[in-house]
Amino acid sequence: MKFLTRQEELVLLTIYQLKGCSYLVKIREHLIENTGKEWSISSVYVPLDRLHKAGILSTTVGKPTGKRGGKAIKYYEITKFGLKSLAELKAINDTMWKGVTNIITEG
Amino acid sequence: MPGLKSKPPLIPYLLLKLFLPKSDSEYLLGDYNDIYESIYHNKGRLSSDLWYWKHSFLAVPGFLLNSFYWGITMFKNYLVIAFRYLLKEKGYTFFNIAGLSIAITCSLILFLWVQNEFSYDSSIKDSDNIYRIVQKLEHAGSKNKIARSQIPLIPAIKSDFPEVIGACRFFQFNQKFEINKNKVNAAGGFIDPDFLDMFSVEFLSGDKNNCLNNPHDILITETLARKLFRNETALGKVIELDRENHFTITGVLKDYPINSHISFDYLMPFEILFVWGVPKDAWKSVNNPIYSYIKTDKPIEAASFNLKIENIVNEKTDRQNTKLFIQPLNDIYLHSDFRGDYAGLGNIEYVYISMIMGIFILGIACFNFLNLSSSKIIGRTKEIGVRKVIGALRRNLIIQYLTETYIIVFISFIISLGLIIFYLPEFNSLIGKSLYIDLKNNLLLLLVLIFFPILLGLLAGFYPSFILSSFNPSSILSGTSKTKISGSPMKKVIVITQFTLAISICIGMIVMYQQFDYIQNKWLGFNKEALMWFEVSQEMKSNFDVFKNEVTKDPSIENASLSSHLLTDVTHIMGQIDWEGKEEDSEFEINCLLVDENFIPTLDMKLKDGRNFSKEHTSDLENSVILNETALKLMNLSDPLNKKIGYHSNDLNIVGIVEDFHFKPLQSAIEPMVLVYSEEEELYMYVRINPNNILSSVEKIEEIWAKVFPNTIYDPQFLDSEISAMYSNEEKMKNIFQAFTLISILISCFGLFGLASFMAEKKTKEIGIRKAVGASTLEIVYMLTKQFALWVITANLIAIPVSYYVMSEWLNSFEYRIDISITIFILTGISTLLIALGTVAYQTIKAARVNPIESLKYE
Repeated sequence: MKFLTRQEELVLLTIYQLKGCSYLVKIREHLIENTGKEWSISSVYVPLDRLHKAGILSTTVGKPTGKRGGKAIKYYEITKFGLKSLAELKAINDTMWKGVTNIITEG
Repeated sequence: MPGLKSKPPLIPYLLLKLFLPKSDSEYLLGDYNDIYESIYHNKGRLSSDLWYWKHSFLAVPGFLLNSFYWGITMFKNYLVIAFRYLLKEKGYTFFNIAGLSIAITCSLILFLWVQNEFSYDSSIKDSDNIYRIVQKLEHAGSKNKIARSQIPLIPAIKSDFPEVIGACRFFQFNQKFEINKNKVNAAGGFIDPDFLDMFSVEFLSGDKNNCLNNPHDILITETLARKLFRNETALGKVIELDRENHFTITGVLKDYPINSHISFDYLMPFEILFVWGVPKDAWKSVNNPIYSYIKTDKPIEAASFNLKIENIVNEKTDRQNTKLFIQPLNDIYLHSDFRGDYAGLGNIEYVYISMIMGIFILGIACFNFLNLSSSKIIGRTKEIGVRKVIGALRRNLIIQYLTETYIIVFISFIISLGLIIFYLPEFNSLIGKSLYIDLKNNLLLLLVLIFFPILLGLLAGFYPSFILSSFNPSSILSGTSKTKISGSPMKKVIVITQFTLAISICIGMIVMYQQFDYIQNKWLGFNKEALMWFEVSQEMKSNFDVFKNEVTKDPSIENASLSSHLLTDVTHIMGQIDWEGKEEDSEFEINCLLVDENFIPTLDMKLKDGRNFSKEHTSDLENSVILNETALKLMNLSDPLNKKIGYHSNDLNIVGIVEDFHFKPLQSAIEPMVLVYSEEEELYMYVRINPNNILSSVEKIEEIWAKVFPNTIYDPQFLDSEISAMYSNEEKMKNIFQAFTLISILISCFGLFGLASFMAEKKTKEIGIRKAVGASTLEIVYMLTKQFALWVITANLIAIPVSYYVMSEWLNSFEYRIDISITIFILTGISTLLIALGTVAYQTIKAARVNPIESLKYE
């Protein structure tokens, strides 16, 4: 069973949080806001591509808008399989992070 | 861009267009525009441009890596599929790899050999400006190009010609040195000092400029030094030639490169020859193996230079017809065609033949591959259809099938390299060279090893891949496609060409083998079996009679004789001969051999007329000659016995006529020859022994030798090995050709086997129907093999006239040759037919036996 990379995991979670209307620009904004790190376009795109090819995300193509100079938007959604993977991921995380509460106050 | 209030900067935009993955480039560009516009709206032109620049460059590595990642993943997929397929089709894979690796091994070895041949004399600096002086002697019916020159030629040239900056002679002479009772054979010769620089001789110790000042100086190579002195320093030591001659070692040389036309273990100054009594001004004779070389400061015009040096010789010899010419050094090894030349020279013809052979064999293997893979295509149409439907582009399919091809090529290559490393030593001993793989220094080889497989894969793989990828999926899957491959003319052409190549090589080899066999066994006019020869020392000359008497007491030793030349190396020519009825003013030079009265009986020659020389006729010595038949024909004397021929001021009596015998390689006709009874200039002794007890005879002679010639080293040699040595090149080529013929036939049979299995597979349905309708197994076999038989016969019909023509041309270079008989062609034709049918038979019989129910089950 292959683990998701950190970037893939974060991107997947972002899409989950955004609950629809997830496209690259929005996903990137959310990531920058919430992780505090600078994400380049390709560092968002590459996980999206991998997740898509792995069957975790599905894509829909939207209508071109004037705003983007006539280019269409690609929307990403989590598939059923993707939700299952996410659940697995959460289970692993819960197990591994169990009992880790106040790291700063310890030692 | 429609709708955008402002355009993003051009350069990063182009960059993005270049590196964005094609499938998502539209969306990604849109994403960039999206953000660009937002920033433009919020913070203005400058900020948005800056952002655009930054983020386009930042993103590129990520996109590149992503494409690369997918490329690798796809490639892994292709590899897995290709391996799976190759493992499934074991027969196909095996024959392909086997055929290719054998062919690659052969061509790589041939490549190494050809490269080695062309590398001769490359260690000599400024070789473009070094020439050898050779000459043409015209005498009695044949023109003789001779590589040797007169002794005084080089000194004369050196003084008179400003354009000549170096000139030297090399007198080739093998010696036996004795040190501490240790006898060592050494090759080498006498040189002029310019030789050292001209031939880039390297010194390990000793002074290059002061090493040959004294006639008794000597230079030796490191290998000879080790043989004589083990680990001691050789410089300054003294070695013995024989009791009277001691030489001081004034220099130790690095071993001279093997790939040079000259080889030596020792070098002595030319001066010593004059000390020993060799005449300094012998302008007329070219008896000795002396080779003259000159070096010029820039390339010279041959014709005028040749004329100039001819004039010198003409002047000194009072003749008009000397023909000298300069031969470029770089031409010597491969392009020399002279009498009296070095042994072991190469031949450019054989180089060309080898190159062609290598290409032929590769061609056969490639044809194999093409045939086999295009045969398999039929079985894969469904696979291709499905792939295309899933979404494979033509490009992907091509890559996939090229991957398959390259895996086969790669594996074949690895196997070949292994085979080469394993077999190279044996090949080396077969051809008498030392080829080796040295990638560090052999850049060409490295390039070949890299590009050869790439090219091979493309060559062998591109045709099937193109055909494969062009299928229309829908028609395949619905079963209505007409497969054009099956009976395609391409396949016929390939098989026929393959067999034509193999058959031509086969016929060529048989003819070559027969010709060489003929040469080696032809009666030469004298008996070459069990004939020993020795170089004659002064002591031997004086005590010869004693020796002969002692030696012939033993029943297994039959006779002994002295003569001026080794029979394989006759270069003494008599000029200015007169005879009754000779045309005025015509100049003839006739080969001449000085012999004793034992010569004709020892060599088992036949006297046709008259008698042999004899001690009983006291006037014989120095006054009698025996002519060979060709000389007699030339002189056109009706009643030759007791007539006289005039030589200079002497009259010589013709006492007999001997049957013609060969004293030159069978490439040339027998020339006129005069045997002169003489006791001067005897340099060689022959001893005829009984062939049944050679070893004991050799020992017995050695015992007698020690008694009669105590001061001369006993070094027995046999004449038949000298004679074989004349044809050593041909012998080697014969071996090589034999091997490669078998290989090309083998590879062709591989191809045929694979093809047959494919055809049988393809026709299972047809066979099933025919059997159901009532055809017998035999009829089916006939039907299947008929096609193959036809192809093989066609190949024969093409190959026969072509190889006949080529081999006749080659045979023309031999004066004494076999006739190409029809039996060769008939034999080859039938054998190839049988081999092909045999190869095919297994598959066809198996197919014909199949129960029709099995094959028709799925209809």
